[in-house]
Amino acid sequence: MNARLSVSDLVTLFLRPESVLDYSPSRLSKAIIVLREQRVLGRYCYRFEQAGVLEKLDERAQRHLNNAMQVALRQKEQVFTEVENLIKTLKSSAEYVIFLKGTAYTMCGASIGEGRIYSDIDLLVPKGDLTNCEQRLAIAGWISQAVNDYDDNYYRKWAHEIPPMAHGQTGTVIDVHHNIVPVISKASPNIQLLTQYKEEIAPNIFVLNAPAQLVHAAIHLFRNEDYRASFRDLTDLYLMMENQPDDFFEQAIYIASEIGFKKELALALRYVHQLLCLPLPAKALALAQSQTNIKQSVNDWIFSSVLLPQHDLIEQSHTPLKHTLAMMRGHFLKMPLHILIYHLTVKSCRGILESVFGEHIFTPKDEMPALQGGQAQGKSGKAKTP
Amino acid sequence: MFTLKKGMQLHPFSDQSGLSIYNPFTTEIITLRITLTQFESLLLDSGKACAEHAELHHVLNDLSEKGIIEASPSPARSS
Amino acid sequence: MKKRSFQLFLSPFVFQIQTDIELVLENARLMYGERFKERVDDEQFVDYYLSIVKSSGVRHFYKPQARFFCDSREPFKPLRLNQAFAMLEWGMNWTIASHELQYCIVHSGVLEKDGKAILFPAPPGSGKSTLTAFLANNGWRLLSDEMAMILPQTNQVIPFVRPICLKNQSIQLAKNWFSGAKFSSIARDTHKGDVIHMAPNSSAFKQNQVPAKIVGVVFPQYRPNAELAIYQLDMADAFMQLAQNTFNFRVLGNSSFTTLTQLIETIQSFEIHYSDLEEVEAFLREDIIERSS
Repeated sequence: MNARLSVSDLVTLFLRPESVLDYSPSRLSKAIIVLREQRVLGRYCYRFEQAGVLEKLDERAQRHLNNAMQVALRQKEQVFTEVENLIKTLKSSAEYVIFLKGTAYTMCGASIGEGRIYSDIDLLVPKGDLTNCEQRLAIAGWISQAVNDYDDNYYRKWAHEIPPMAHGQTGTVIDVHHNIVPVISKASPNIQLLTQYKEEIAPNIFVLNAPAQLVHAAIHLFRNEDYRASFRDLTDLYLMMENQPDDFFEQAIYIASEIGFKKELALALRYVHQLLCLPLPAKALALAQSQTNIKQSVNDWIFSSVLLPQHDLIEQSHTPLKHTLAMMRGHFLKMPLHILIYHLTVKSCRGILESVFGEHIFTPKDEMPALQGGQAQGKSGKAKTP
Repeated sequence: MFTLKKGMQLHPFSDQSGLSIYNPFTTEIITLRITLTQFESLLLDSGKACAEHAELHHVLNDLSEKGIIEASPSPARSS
Repeated sequence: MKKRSFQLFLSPFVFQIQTDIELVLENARLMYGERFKERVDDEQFVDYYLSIVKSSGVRHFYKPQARFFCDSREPFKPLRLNQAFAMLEWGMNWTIASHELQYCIVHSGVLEKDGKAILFPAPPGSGKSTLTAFLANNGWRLLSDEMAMILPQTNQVIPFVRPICLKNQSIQLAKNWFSGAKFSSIARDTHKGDVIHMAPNSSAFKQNQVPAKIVGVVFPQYRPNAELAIYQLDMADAFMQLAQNTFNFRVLGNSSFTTLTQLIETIQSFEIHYSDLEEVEAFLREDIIERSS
């Protein structure tokens, strides 16, 4: 078999995990490298395992797949403790605490959480309780990660969250939101319309219900400005929709229209259907195909490749232009123009500095899985002999 | 009295130099320089031990805060 | 130079590295000898795909820099171009330490004699690498200068043979002592000072698939002009120090806890303060290797 890999091979591998048995070891090693870069190696490992093919693979390939799986398992093991602690910490400070995205998937125990890693714990609290929460968190050892005053200001003035906070001891990072999109983009919804869909999955642990989670994930992906790891997000959407009854889609459409994000949901439906071949019920399909033709074909041109993996090792036409377009799209959606200009002025000033001194006089932000630390947190808590 | 929480890994070193406890939920390791017997009697009879050595109170508090041990109801006593 | 790719066969891993820096290519060729493959074999199973490339930007013209990538992640700030090979070496270490979970990986030198291995975990400045280099050229087999890869639930350590990283004053010492050895070009003024890499001898490479049984752990501390002082560590102390030097302790979880506590139960543990390497060698041989079964 030809050692070259194509994007559609990776999609096929996702949909029909057993097709991995046709791979030569070298071809499999290339797939692994790309999937690791896309942050979906653990997810693929889970799917190979479910299909009963993991153990039939080359031993070296199994090693890499298991490594990725283990990181996810460890994260899962620890996230429950983190969530419990957060609830304890915020109990009296916030009217509600709703866990979002990766943390919510794990807490729900759905297959979407299997093998999935995430870099921070996202939670939603009422805007009015934000300051209270921040103070309580600070007392409990969480430290704000704002890089400088500009960052801090930006978050406070325009964003839908406060700067990320990292725990001094465990290194876990949390993102505390009060809305799901920046308030300043006029699209930010009345958050109560969304929080009414919260659901208690264990005592005091709240997440959005499944259709609302889908709507949120769609908004997150299609209002994003960085599409470099969006393949993971696309497969997230697939796993949320897979095997769902018709009324799940109807509810999602209802929620999306209610909070004003029907377009994002339409895009989510469209590309999961188009790129990952998921069959949709009639109403969902109608929404997926609802846009005017020109707009649709432009969108398709951009998204058909930016949502799929990009890597030197896989064959495809070069797409940096499409990436730039998708990024601009995300950026414009988030900020009305006058705000966008303000945002760009300060950032681009830094941009000039970077182009003069090289790109990285500033510490690069390396995205690590949230709960995976480097060295042991070994502290000799030495007690004296009684 | 206290008991070790579920899931904690405990290893008493055979040279009696102490014991290590690993909490898989926080990935923290604690090493206490006491023997297993001393540790067990400390948990079992925490009230008495703390009355005799005030600092043990801090040790127990610390272990409890770190999610390693938890208070549990005392077994019925014959006294 | 245009971007080129080469492969390194460093049991138990195969790396494919892309670079546009001549210095990297030259040093890799010199350090890795037969394990350096100039031509990429497309049919080879590759474990990690790394790149080390010149930084773009205006800075490029007056102070060229090198950037290291593993997948799309960039763990380090760019370094000066003359430090590129050292950066690649550190980057390979970072890659293994942050991905591999089949082994409990301790930041440590590992040397073997008569099938028995001693671990030397130590912070920078303790003279660990000089000690490693000395032993590796005096009848001991080098398994690693930086990472001990312990098979979980056993006392077996797997070799990961790589060049030894020497710093500052040790550079001249090593060049005087081991005149037959191969040295990389010097990376000046890194965050560790001046740095050079010394190629492992060919017998270390030849046996790079032969594991060894760990019989001791020694935490070395170099003290100028000091007499050799040996402190036996109790198990609790030795365990904590070992755990603190374990890269992947947290991700491995229970398995690393069991592995290290079991290991500590079966080996001897020492801290030594030394200045004379020959004295140290005699102590290791007579008191640890010869006395353990």
